[in-house]
Amino acid sequence: MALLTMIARVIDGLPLVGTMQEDEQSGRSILDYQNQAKMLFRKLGTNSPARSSIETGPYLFHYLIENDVCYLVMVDKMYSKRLAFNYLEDLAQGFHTTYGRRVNSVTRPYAFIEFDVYIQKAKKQLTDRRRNINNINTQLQDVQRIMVQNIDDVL
Amino acid sequence: MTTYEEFIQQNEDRDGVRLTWNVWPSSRIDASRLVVPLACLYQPLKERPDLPPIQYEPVLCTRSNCRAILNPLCQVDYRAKLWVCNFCFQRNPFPPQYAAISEQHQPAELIPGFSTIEYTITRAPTMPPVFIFLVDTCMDEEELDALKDSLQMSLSLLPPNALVGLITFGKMIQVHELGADGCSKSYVFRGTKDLTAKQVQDMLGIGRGAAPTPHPQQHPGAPGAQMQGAGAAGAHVPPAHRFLQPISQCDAALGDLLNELQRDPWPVPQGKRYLRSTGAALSIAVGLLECTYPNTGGRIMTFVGGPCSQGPGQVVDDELKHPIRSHHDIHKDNVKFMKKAIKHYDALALRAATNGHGIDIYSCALDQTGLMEMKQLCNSTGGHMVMGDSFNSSLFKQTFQRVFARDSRNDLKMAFNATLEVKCSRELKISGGIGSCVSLNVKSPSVSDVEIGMGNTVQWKLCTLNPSSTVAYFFEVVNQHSAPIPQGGRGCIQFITQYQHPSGQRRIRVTTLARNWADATTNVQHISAGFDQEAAAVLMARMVVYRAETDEGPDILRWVDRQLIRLCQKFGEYSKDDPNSFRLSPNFSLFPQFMYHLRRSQFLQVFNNSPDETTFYRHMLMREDLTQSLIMIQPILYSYSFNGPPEPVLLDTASIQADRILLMDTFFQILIYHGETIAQWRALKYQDMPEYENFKQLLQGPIDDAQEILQTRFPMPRYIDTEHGGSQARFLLSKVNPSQTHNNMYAYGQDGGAPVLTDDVSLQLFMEHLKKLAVSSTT
Amino acid sequence: WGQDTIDLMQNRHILTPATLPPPKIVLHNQFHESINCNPSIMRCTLAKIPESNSLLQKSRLPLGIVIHPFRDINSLPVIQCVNIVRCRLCRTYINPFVYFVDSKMWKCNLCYRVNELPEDFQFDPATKTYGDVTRRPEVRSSTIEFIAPSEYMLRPPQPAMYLFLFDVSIIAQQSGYLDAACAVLNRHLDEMPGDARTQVGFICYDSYVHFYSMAEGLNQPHEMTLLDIDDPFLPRPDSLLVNLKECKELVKDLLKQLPKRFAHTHDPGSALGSALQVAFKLMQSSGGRITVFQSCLPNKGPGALEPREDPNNRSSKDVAHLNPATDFYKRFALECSGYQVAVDLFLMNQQYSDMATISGISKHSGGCIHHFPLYQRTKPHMVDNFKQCFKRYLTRKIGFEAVMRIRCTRGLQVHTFHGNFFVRSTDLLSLPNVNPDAGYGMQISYEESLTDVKTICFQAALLYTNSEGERRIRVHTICLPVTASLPEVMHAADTEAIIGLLSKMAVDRSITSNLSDARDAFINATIDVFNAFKIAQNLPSGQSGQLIAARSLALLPLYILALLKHPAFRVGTSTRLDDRVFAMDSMKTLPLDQLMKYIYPELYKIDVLVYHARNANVSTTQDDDDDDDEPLPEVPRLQLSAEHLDSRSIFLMDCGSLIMLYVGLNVPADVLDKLFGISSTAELADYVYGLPNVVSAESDVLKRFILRLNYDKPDTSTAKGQFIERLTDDRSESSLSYYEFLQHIRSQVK
Ligand SMILES: [Zn+2]
Ligand SMILES: [Zn+2]
Repeated sequence: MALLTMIARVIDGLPLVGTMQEDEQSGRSILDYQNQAKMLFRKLGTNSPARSSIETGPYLFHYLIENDVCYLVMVDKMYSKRLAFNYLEDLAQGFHTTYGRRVNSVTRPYAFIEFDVYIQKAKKQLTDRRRNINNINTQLQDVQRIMVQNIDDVL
Repeated sequence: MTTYEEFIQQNEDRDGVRLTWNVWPSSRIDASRLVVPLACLYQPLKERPDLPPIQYEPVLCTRSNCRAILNPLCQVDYRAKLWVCNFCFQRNPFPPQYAAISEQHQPAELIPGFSTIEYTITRAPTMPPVFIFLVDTCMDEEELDALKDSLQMSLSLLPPNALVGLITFGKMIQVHELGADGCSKSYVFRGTKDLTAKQVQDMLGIGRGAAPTPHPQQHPGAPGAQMQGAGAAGAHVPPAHRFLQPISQCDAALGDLLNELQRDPWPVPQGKRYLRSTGAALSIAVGLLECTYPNTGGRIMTFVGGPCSQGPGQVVDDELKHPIRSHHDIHKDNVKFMKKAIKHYDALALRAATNGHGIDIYSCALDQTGLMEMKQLCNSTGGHMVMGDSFNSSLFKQTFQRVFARDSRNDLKMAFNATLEVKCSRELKISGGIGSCVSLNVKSPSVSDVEIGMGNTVQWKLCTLNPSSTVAYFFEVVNQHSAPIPQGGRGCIQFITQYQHPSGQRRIRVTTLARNWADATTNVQHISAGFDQEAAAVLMARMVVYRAETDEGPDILRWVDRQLIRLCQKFGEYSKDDPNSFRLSPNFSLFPQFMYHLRRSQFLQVFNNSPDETTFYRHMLMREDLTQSLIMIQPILYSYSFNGPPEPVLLDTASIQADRILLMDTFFQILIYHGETIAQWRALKYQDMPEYENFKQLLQGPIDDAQEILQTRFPMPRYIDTEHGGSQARFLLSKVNPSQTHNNMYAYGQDGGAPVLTDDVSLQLFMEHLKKLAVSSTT
Repeated sequence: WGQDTIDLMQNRHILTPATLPPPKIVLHNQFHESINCNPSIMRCTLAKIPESNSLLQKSRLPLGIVIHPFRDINSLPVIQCVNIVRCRLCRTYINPFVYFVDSKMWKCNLCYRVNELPEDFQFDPATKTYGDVTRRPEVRSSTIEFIAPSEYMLRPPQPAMYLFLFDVSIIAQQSGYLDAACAVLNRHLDEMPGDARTQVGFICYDSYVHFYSMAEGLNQPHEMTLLDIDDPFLPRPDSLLVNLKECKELVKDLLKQLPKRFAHTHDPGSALGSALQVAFKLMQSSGGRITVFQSCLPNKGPGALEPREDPNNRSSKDVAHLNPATDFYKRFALECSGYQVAVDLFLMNQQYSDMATISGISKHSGGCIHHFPLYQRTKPHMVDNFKQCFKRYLTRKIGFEAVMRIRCTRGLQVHTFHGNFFVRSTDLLSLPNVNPDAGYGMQISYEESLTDVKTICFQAALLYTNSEGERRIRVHTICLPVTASLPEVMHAADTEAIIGLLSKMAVDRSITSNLSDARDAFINATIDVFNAFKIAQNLPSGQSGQLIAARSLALLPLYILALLKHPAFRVGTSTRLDDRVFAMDSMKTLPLDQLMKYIYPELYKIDVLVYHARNANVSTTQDDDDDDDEPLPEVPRLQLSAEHLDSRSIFLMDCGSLIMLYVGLNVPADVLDKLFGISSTAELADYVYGLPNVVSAESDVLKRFILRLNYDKPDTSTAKGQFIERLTDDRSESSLSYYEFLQHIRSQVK
């Protein structure tokens, strides 16, 4: 399950969209991970790999960079990498269509927070889909080749 | 003179009765030496479309502690208008309406052909049956959709006056209101909380005297309310009307509800199971029915897609890494939830049974769902237990459809809230019953001290039953050897079944039977000639399984062995210590074989089966009639080949031949096995070539026969099509007598049979041992 | 300037000719030109700050500020910059009253630290040019709003979340409020502030709690009833709060059905506590606003209450039960506050509902309270009044996840806060929600004397998330001169602000001590001020027949008397406990301009409007939006005494939330006709909502006048009792007239 989803601009790490897991249990600690993600965004640059996975505590950040926008999701370590990237690709496509052209013109954080409505739906589909693994996009590139790093090495 | 076989068949057809002994030993001591107890299998609602409709009430013996019903075996004095009770010998006057009877003009119940007869009690109010759908929503979309389809379909199969209700459950439990318009409504309960019946009733506003929260839809005078009742203005609306309504009134609303039914919305994290509240949900369903329609026919149809994982009745926790208990775990006493869960479900089963309500469990999941813990819900109430892999399988769909099968009069083949009373002659006492029923604890002088199955009563409750429902009854001969029975005296048994017919009528079915007494010391051959080895096998199986339910392990098998040896000692012909001299008469000869297969059967051998499977198999054995039960004990094997018409063959490895197709019916499975050569031909598609039309027909033969069985069997068996070397062939190999195994095949040489990889003893070896022990003078 | 005095005994018509403006703040030297904070937003009780505590004590005046931080403002400068310039030591936002050491350095006006200016501060975002820092909007405007960068966000800005809780017990049904509430909601759904993420949800409760699931795939809402109210839980994890845009049809459908669903209920139960508990569970993760409609005493489940009011004791001098009966509601509110949830209360009660206890849900969570006692669907003026109020409530601005910090110049400190919030640390108020109708008050004390400084400042910074998901900071700064002169202090007194603060302090005293103490304190404060002034002015001591006041304090006795007769503090007049408690709450939370009308309504004789209309012969066209330029005549404001009333005139009383017209019996028929379309006063209904739609110049002018007085909530009625009750200058059975009160004060002044 997607515990945390964020979208940021690569050039300056400005968060564009953020959403929180509405889970009573994991509540506060998620904030720390969110700050980590924000720091990670600031470290990103044009040389950063387009796809990467980063270990942090019991979780993994998976991110995807497309058109200078970084899409990041935090999931449980056990969670299927394939599904996670499938989800990010879905977000990237949806986001680019609606907001792609305006990405470079905004200055305030979370300018496209309304994209959360899309994310919520994608998340719901993701949970539904997990039960029916056949629906996954088989075109997805081999996720096993994506580099896995540790958060301490990245930040 | 007919043969015993014909006599037994006639009796079964007419009365639905099969007795272990058809001539009864006249003294207690003799009876105890017969090894197999005097017992019978009785099908109280055996289909008898030929029975005359009788619209009056039965005439009872006036003796207050007898109350037997007038039957063809009673002596009648037509002139004095008196009849003599054949159980207590009380002389009873006929009631005034019988004034016109004479030898020429007899009421139906005195005609010998009507030893089984059915009365319809017209003065009793008719009550439509109540159905509650109790639906698990913790399943995949696909599964739930399939289940919803089946439920929708069932709405059209129910009689229009039947009351229906819907309860769904997952992490929470929802009791749905019917016919709420504009905004559907449900009451939500936490699945972790075990609410008492009173709490449920108070909360739902259906307890006695509780004021329900009226809603516009239910307000007296609202359109919904006017349709209720006998059309009288201001008719009383039952408090539970919100939850249980005639299908004719609520089918649209219920259809919508089912349509909009959604998967349990609570997220299931990685590595976890659904939180499923089966136990609490059942508790609420039982509570709802208990206070609204006590002692009225009703059934809770429970559909589960997995195990109860929280709250009362929990059988496993929600960690996927903790598998549900296995036989091994139970054996090692390494089961965390089982005992508490069983206690919960047993208590519910008892409550439901006390109120006359049946509980079905339709369990469809790849893993176990806790049938073992829940078994008493079905076993005590007569409810169906159906086990399948998927609600989207034809096994479930067909089976569920067959629950609503109709008879020739277009009534559901389903009866409710039955009480079965057994009466018997003074020489007999009743030891107990085994079947899908509960004891009503009705004491009587006829109750025996020796208890077999559920004893200490002469009445049992069968909350729901159908024509194949069969109960085993065990009797004790109590006549002392010193008090001989007069010549020509006969022992009598009467079964009185009061039940709610699916039409809502109250009916009473009466079966009276009598058998001759014989002195075992002088006329043991009369007694042995009346032995019904099939009935004996099935009754022994019920006794063994009943014991096994409480006492697992090798003792059970040893008991079976000991009984068998004793029977052989008693009825075999042999010279002491000479096994080769041992012979059994034909009506005993198959019995050891039945016992051999019973020992190896899934009823007693639990390895390779899950506790749920064992529970399911045993459940079926405890309710089915003799024919079906025998198939379960010793499956039937047919052979199809070019050498002649299809024929039954021995359930033996020797029957597995390369050029044969076998059809095996184990009751639970229908298996078609293609021998090696046949399989090769089939692979080469000979059947598609016009010149091999006969091969095509050979292939088709068993398929057609299998279809016939599949169409009629309840529950629908698993259908397996396999061939030599196929992985599913193991089902066949596990059933056949391993006359050739990897241990002995070379010794016997090659005669075309298929060796079985097993260390089980073969039937031959078993018989050798049996003979040796039977003739031994030291036992 | 402003040093004149007045003998109140000789000038009883003290209010004429017009409402006094607040005292002007005059700053010395370089700030002379700086624009100070608008008095409608922030006011200090003293326009000149005594240089020491002892000087303040000599004045006997309270020191504090009243603030209306989220007031609707037409031209608010909003800026977005990379760095928000703040003092590195005390985190004060740069403001018009800082001192620029040079082009690179500025000195904080609160802590006096010298800070560096970031380079880009030279850039003026308004003109997009580099140059003088004083052109920066931060330095030019004492009220400004920043769009915050992401460091100001603990988490991404949450969507607007609105959860409505409806009491549907039999008493609620009898009042019929639900019809009106659902109708207003249905009509104004789209106008509720929020972006595409906005979510709404509904919970009804009687003896049980009813949820409404609007899950995807449902054709109709699904009601889920929770029966186990002692252990309440959420029946499902989703679909109880739904995206407004995506589920609008289901939401509208539900709002149409809700009033019908419980129309026939007989359930006397009201499980408010359980409903609140589940509502909290729903809102916990995101924060947001819970709106509670309660119509009776909560009597089921957690937080159930017992009636406490003795109806026979409503006019007694001793008022009991002003304190909560249980801390359940306060604890609940504090929990909400921690999760950015505010609870607003609409009490539509038919009987005693223990406002003192249940109002805790709003008081401590930063919510607001509205009260419609004896609401009945059969009384159109009530229905309309409620509808107007609820509409305003739904559609007004809202800020989420807010905190407000009050900073003041070194030497001063805030010691007591008034309003609805939770004090998270010494100067930080937690406001899960903030609304434009909420006012606050703060009492100020001295930490050290201000001998060396010429001015002091207060700065209020409100950090909030707006309904569009932007994190913003609204900063108000007020600068005041310091003085060492007692007379200057007294002449610079701001009577309205003083009344604002005194009334809040009196509420606290009523609750912590008792009502009599609070009443005594009002009178003593007044006497003390006159004594102090006598000393300040070196007036001879002893009785003189005079009562000399500073012009600035001339209205003090008038207002104090009104307070003593106000439902919040009055005795001797039958006052329902809930009404009193609500009035007290209003004292604590109304912004000052509303509060003044609430305490001392504005009374006008409007004949002049009628004659003006006739003489000017203005056009009577309907589209009065365009031809409004022509100025209205001055309408004299009257003191609240029957002596000003006459039977040939029409009077208008503006009580803030209510406007009343008093139509004299002998008003000429033609005036009646032109204004109301009637021929005699007998035809006037007691309660009329709005003015009849009569096309006439007179009517037109009156409407324009009302429009000018009031912005949102016109309501007129002619219920004489209510009108007379508010004539607080006059004597009543149990209270003094203004003149008697003055005499009493004079007799006490030594
Ligand atoms: Zn008898
Ligand atoms: Zn500073």
